[in-house]
Amino acid sequence: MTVVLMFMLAVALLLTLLWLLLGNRGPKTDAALAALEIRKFLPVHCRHFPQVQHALRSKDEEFILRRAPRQLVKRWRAERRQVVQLYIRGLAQDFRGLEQLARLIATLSPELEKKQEWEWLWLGIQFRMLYHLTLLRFALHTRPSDELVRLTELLTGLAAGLEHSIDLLTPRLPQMQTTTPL
Amino acid sequence: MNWWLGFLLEVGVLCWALRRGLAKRLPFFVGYLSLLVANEIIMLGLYRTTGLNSRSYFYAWCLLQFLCITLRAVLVYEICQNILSPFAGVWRLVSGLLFAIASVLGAGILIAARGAPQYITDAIVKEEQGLELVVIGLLIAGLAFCRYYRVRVDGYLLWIALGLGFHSIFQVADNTFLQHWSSHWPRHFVIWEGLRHFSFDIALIMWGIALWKPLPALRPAPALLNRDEYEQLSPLVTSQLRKLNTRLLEMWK
Repeated sequence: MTVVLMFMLAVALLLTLLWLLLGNRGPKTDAALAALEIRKFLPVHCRHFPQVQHALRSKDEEFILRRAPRQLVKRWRAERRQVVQLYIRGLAQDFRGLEQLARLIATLSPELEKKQEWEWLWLGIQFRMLYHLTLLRFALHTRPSDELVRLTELLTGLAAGLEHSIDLLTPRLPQMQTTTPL
Repeated sequence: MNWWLGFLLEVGVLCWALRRGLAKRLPFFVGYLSLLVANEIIMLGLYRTTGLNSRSYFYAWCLLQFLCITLRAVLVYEICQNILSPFAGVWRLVSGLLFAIASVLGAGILIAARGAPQYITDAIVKEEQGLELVVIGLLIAGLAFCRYYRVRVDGYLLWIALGLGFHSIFQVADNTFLQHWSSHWPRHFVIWEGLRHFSFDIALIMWGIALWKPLPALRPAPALLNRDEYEQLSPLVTSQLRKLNTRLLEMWK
């Protein structure tokens, strides 16, 4: 039993090592692009919320329920659900962008607060868990919650708040990009 | 023949490392390669003069093995330092954590060794396995930090790290084989030794690949943020990330 466990551990360690090493070969970014690339960290998907909101209006649902045949309603609902799921995925991408910004700030800092770093790590774990659970929830419910509106408002506000951070970090990027893939 | 091949590979990699000027960047790695060559010469000398079954041969083997593994652990630290030291804050945090990880793993080995085996050879094999696990643990932790902070690792360092990790992992599996099949298999020692040499030769080839091309030019250290700027930026990002999570959580209520 111990032998099998030890061999399994060895294989797992080797795979982890390969994953860590091969995953670290990020594409090289051009120095001129670096300043533009950092803008990618800012939330973008939340800006498309008006379109998504339009697609989710209950008035539209009422109208379709009255006029369209049952099969079309079913298809419309499935498509709408898919739109919401894609949108939530987009929000997750926005979160990951912010997370990258947080790590960029950390790499450029002369001293790090341990508490702060643990908090960022924990928030990342927490977000991923919540994100998957939320996706599951929307997959099971036909009508998305109003919370989606608030979530988007939050991300839009966040984008404005972080513009200042981007302005501070941009001058450091020509040097940074040679060391860290953005 | 096999011994000579391994020896020539070791000398070749050492010469190549010196030619590439690796001693300036990874002095412990070059020291480790030199120790390997010295190890082979010393062991051959002792084998010829005192024989394979002598005490001096055995103690010299144990001492040199201990030195090699310890140097490998230091080398992992050196690799991490090489990658992360331009980022002062991150390196300060990571170096402390690497020490903590090494201490925890080391303490684990000592605790595991309390039920010491009957024979000294078994105890040595077990200790060696434990030390190799420390090396792997440190390497994986160091690389995980590099990935977490998205710090790019140069190709030559990747190959050196892969060679180190591969050999240590293979050693753990090989020592497991030795501990459990020694009583069932009369030729176990030959197989164990063969596998040990095989994995080490593979590691040497990986190091050869690492040094095949000239080393990339040293990069200038990035201009760091001021303490004030960090204190200004980080709470801003934290509060936004926190709010986002709270909102997602609220969607569940």
